[in-house]
Amino acid sequence: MASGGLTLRRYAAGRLLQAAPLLLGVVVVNFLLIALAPGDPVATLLGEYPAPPEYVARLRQEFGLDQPIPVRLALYVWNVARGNLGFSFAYRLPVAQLVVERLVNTFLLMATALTLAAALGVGLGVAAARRPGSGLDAASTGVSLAGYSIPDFWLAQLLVLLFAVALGWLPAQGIRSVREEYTGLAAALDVGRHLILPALALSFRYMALIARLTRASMLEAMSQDFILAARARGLPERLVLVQHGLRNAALPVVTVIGYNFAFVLAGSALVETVFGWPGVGRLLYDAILQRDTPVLLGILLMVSATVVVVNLLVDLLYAVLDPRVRY
Amino acid sequence: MAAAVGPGRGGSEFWRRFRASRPGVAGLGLVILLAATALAAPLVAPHDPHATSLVTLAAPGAPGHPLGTDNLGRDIASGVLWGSRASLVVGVCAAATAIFLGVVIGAVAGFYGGWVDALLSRVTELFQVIPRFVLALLVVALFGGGLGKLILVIGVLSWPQAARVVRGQFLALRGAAYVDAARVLGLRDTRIIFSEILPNVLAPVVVIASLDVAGAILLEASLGFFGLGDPNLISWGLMLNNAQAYLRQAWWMSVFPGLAISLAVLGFNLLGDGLNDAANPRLDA
Amino acid sequence: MPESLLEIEDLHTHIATPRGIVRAVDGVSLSVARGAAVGLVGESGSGKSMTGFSVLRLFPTARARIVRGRIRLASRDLLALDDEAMRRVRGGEIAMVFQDPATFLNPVLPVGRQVAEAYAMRHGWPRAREHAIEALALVGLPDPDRLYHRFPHELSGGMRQRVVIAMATVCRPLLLIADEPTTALDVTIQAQILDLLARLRRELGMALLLITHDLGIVAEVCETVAVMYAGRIVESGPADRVFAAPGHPYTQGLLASALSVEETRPITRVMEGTVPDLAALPAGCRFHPRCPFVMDRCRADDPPDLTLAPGHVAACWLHDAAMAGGPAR
Repeated sequence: MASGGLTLRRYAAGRLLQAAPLLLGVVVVNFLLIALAPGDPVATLLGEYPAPPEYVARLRQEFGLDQPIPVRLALYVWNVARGNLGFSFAYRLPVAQLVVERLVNTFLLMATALTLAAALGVGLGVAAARRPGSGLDAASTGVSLAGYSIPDFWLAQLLVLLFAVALGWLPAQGIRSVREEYTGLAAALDVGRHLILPALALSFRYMALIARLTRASMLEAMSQDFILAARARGLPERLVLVQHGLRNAALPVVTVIGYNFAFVLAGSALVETVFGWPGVGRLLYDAILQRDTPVLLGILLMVSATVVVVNLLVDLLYAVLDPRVRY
Repeated sequence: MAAAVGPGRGGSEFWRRFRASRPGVAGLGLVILLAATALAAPLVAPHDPHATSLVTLAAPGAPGHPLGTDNLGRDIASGVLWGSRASLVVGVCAAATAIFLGVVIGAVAGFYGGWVDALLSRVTELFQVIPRFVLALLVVALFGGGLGKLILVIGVLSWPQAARVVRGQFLALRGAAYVDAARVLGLRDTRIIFSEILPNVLAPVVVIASLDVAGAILLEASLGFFGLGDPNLISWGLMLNNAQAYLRQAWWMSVFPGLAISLAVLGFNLLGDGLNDAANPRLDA
Repeated sequence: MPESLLEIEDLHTHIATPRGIVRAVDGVSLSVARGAAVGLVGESGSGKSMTGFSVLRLFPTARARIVRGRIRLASRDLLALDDEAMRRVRGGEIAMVFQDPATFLNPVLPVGRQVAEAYAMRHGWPRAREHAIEALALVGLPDPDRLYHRFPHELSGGMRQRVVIAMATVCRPLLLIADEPTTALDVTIQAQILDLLARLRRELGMALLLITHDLGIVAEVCETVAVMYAGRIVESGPADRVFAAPGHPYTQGLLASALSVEETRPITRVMEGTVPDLAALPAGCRFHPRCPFVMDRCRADDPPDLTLAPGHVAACWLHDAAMAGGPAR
């Protein structure tokens, strides 16, 4: 048992090694997009923004655009590995720096939305599973269907229409109030107020997904013999539900939350656009309007890399949660 | 549609169970409504959806404009009706592309195993980590987005789910007695794959096809919302993109196209649930 | 006469199924004295497990319900307790051990924690840990300190069943209900678990209600035996007497099949037929369709409990005083 920590570490290292080719695959997909895009690859790497000729020359040399394809691929991988994702002339910033700055805001939004979705979704799923066929169960099924079917960007617009336009309770745009100069706690609260609507819009679909999954998983767990055994020991129902039911039901839920991370990122791109939230999604939208392709490519690369890392973390979390996982 | 593809053996039994599924029947109803709207749009739409007029930002109920008009005076009701065409065409064609690719790739990987299978698994993993929407966005931005390209992009990006399911079924079935029998009879591999095994995996494929249509409609709308897509098409997503700038003045520019997308997606999702109920009968109600 | 601990009187437990009401327990009366070991024997589907679950007022299905009867534990009326009070009885005064230790343990919690839970909820956590380790030691598990942190899948079947028994005995119950505790285990391990149950009974002074289809186990562990058939106890008495002079044709059949060399599905081989559909019981004696000594009266009237000897009763018309002439063909 003393070796438990060690085996977990070895397992983590193994999974990390498996993630490496995946990252390489993401880079290759990016490269293929550049290589196959119609027109001059310089234009693809540069976007439709005027750039100084020296920079164009440097790009040609750095990415070996005169060289045969395999050399270009090698050079591209090498550049990406060094963190060189090109330069955005629209923002006058290196792409890597630009994307990282925006990712912070996106993560704030996503973390809030996922927390909200997990809390509400698990709660709803457990409540529905406790009384299958009840009104609450039917309501949770309805919420799930709505969540699967309503586009999150439209839900975002509806929330703006209701809470910002009609009721005027919450701000509809941005991450902080432009007219006020808040500091300290007031500034944090201001960001919090701006966060509510986008987080709600982004969380709905995942809450629906988590609720549906939790319900099914919980029904399965609560029909197991060890639940009967726990009740036979006189444990309070709340403890039976959480320690024995949910603790087992949570395993598939955690996996699905993790593997849907890529979709949450995509959803946040759309929701950010509605709310003018200065994250990666908004950057993506602006980059498309400005035909700022280096930024588009950088976003695809970094977002995919983030997903790889998150999936890795989820696998590790699963290994910690489920003692039966063999490393 | 469901009846025509009623999987392999016992198609009528499949259809009977489908009819017993309430979500399935509701979904089929919505899908038929969507198809009827798409067919009848030219007949029932009060205006040319492209036609601008001086009556801009008219509220719903304005004379001749039951759902109001947009910032250029275009009729919202006509836009919503005509928009069903783009959604349905892109949704169904993209899903068909995805299913075709998924079935072929999944069947080959599941039937032969080995390196083909290993390669497929890696590619599927890759598609799992690259956000589909962002990649589609990039491809359309780089390569342009006519209707055909849109269908191709969405279809190509959506095949892995069908491939995974078909692969799993083929792995399970390739050792089955009747497959061995077909081998002994000297049937060609393609014949075994398509005539012997495939009919038995149709049920889950039909379910995924329906869910793929829902996903494709949603993706097309998302791309439209980002201002990408075929500018000559009337698309609900593009209407919502247009509505974004006028949220404070004209709620109807957002509410009606959004409702249309939701109902279309809901229809195919429900249909998928119903087909799933019919394909995997459960004992508990 | 030792003091009575558990008194079941005229218990009826029904299960609502789509086919109709299944009368799983149909008028069972049974008593267990303090510290005694009672065997409840019958084929699967005879209602013996449902009798055990009824005592805990806890069922594997939400469709089961006690409809009539009395269950008293140390003169407390268990059926009159509110849910909260009944919950405290479970795992406290009455505990239960189940058939398959693999499925009755939570796979994602350390076993020690599961043993400790029942104690912790009554007396708090720090002491519960010590008690759990003590309980693990008491059931003969080696190195209980380290075992506390292990997970069910890391243990062998026999060890798991010991853990399950430790879980049940950690609060020193007055009554342990053991439902087929050795059926899922290897023969060699079976003997060890039976020895353990006998030892725990002595050391903790607890009574044992052993539910099994295996007469050999009852003979080994119990002083008293009750034979159940189709929801009712058809014969009960001191184990040695019942085995030596079985009064009910069903018991006779059970014994005969237990004595036969191979015993995978013994009962059906010696006796024709199976347990009747509990949703549609035959009229008269419920055993009459399978009984080799069936008489006209058996088809019409349900026999009452008839005393054969002090403490030995059987529900069979063969022992009616009016029929004193002996069994007729």
